[in-house]
Amino acid sequence: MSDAVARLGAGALALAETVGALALFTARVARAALRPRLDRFETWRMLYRVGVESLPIVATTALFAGAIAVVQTGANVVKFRAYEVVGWAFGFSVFREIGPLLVGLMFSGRVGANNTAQLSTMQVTEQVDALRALAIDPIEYLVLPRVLSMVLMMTTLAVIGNAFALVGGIATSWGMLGVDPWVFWNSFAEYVTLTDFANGVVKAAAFGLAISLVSCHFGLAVRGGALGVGRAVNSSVVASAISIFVLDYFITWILK
Amino acid sequence: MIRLDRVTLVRDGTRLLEDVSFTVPTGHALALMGAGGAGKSLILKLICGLLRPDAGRVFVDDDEVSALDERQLMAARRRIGMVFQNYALFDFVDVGENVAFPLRQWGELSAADIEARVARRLAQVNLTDAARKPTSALSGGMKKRVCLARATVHDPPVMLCDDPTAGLDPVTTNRIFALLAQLRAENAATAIIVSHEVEALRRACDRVVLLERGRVVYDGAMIDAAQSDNAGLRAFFEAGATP
Amino acid sequence: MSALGFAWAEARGVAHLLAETARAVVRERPASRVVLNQAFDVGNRSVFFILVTLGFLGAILNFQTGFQAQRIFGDTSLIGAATLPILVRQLGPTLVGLMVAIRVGTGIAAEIGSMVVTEQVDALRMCGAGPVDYLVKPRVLAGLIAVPALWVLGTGSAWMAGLWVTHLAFQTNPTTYINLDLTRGADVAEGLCKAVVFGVVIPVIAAHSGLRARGGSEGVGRATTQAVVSASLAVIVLDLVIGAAAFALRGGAGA
Repeated sequence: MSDAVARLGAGALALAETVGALALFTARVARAALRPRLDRFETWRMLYRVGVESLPIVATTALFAGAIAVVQTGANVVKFRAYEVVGWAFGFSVFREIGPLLVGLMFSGRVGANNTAQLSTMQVTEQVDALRALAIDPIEYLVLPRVLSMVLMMTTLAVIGNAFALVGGIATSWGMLGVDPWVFWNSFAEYVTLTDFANGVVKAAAFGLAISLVSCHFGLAVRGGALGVGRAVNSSVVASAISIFVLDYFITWILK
Repeated sequence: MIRLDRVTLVRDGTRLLEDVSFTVPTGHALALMGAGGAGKSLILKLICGLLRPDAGRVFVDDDEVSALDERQLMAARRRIGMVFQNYALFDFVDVGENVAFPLRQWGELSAADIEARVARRLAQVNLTDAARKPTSALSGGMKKRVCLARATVHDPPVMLCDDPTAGLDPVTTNRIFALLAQLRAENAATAIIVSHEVEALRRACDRVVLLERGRVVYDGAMIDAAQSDNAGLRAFFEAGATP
Repeated sequence: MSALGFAWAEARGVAHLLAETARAVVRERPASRVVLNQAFDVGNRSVFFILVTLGFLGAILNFQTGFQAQRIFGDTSLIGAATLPILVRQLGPTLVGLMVAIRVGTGIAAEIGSMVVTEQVDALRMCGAGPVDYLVKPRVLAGLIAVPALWVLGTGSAWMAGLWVTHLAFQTNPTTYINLDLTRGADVAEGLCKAVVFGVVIPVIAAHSGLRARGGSEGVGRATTQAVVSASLAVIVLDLVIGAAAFALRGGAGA
């Protein structure tokens, strides 16, 4: 019994330590961001790479997510003959919730994990130390461009993702429920507001910020060789996922 | 007996091994020498079936290793002991279990027999006290000794050693080679040793093969090698000679 | 398009490994106790993570739905009844699947990947332990048991969080929230089916990525990234496939 309590305590301590370390890291990044000396070329390159890396998977996920949303609500739509409402229900749930959430999780997997893998490999092979020895601040040189590009990309991808989800939704409701695309689009355009859209975008930006900070932190904080890198990636995606859900909840609550 | 017959290995368009042929008679020890990247580790992996040649054949005693499937290879590997270059110790079990691992997997011996064999090998490599330690707690030399113990616990008639003393100090290097000789003598094993320790190889092996960029440039008895006028071989011997 | 080509090659590799694992299971089923131990391990590693994330999900879902319901119908009494079936057959399994892909997927890929690059897998093969038999099989069987268990726990956590949130935000009476009327056996079956499929597919995909790791720490990093992406995508795709099948089985659009 006391063994279980001890482990629980150890777990809580480890959690507190991680959260603290993350907070400190965020503060350092924020301070560096006040007077940014961004390597323009590096930032553009990163933007391009992040966008190209994640677009196929975000588009695919969004397409399927749109289809899933329709399939799941399909039975109710048919039962209540609520064909006109499909577009609206789809719109607000995808734009506000499912869209940013799924895109966020996929982005965390595709870009966040990759980011952590790269930074941790650099750390393990002492390249980060080499930067410091050359009087280059790793936060300015490595982290800031990544944070900036990931926030921008995440927001863009959320918008693109919404478009793809819409396509998936329209196609599925037409194919499976027999809802005419025009009917779908009409109810969608009429009832879905800019607020719904903005809501989703704000979430996406917040997720992007969280994912970038978390992935950079775990990448640079890695210890140990090959297995350490694997563990860093593991911790990074787990922490990103938790951050996404926590942020999602609070933003939903605040922006109601 | 180990025999390579015109073995070629190609990866990503690069010919890593080209037309390699040599024989190690039963009970003899071959020193496999060559510059880094010449293909020495690849040959060892081909012999125990961890890699397949793109051309040519590999024989270990009566088995044509290059033609066996994975199930058959499992049986063939019981007669081979491999000491890996980077230890390849299992980090999920302690030292004693590392050495016992192959015996437990093959499930032919009783638990008591396995314990006895492991204890004997560990005593031989002077690691009885480390039996319950995790592998991460060992020094490089100790890890290599565990490797040796694990590779020979099942008394294989064929021993393959990939750089058994890499990164070790001179005293430990000598100890490892002495152990190798001792273990080999136990059942007159046929051995191939890859190493840069020229002096130690001269004492331990009676045949030598020199590889250069994937090709065999010398193949002969060790006693002849010292007098050979093969340029590559001379360079190695001179560089490695003690002053 | 090379991304598509890559995806197809990946899918074929995974299918191959799945077949090999199935054969290995049929050939020699490991002791129940060993499997249960490993399942417990897997579950243990993820349970806190799942409870937290699914809890927040339940809170968000109920909050969002309740908010819209209040705006449109002015009445939140049906929230509990309406959100439960969606949770049981859709959001629960999908998000548990994604979380398992994240937590367990990267874990397995990291473990196996680092064993590959440190030549431990080669050493295993030299000692008579085939990687599929020794590394993949136990993890797949563990997933088969652990993921459905996690689905139950996760869905429960989301449901409880919903109860708490609707009570706080909309003053909904807990007894009104706890309403199983709209949840049917078919929903549970669909959710369970998804959980079982995810439990098998995620470890196979992760092991497949791990076994192909090449080249030191960089290789392990790449393997873990690939594992989480492929496993997440597989969850989404399989979710749609099973969901569509269930929809059709329930009578489809003509219900």
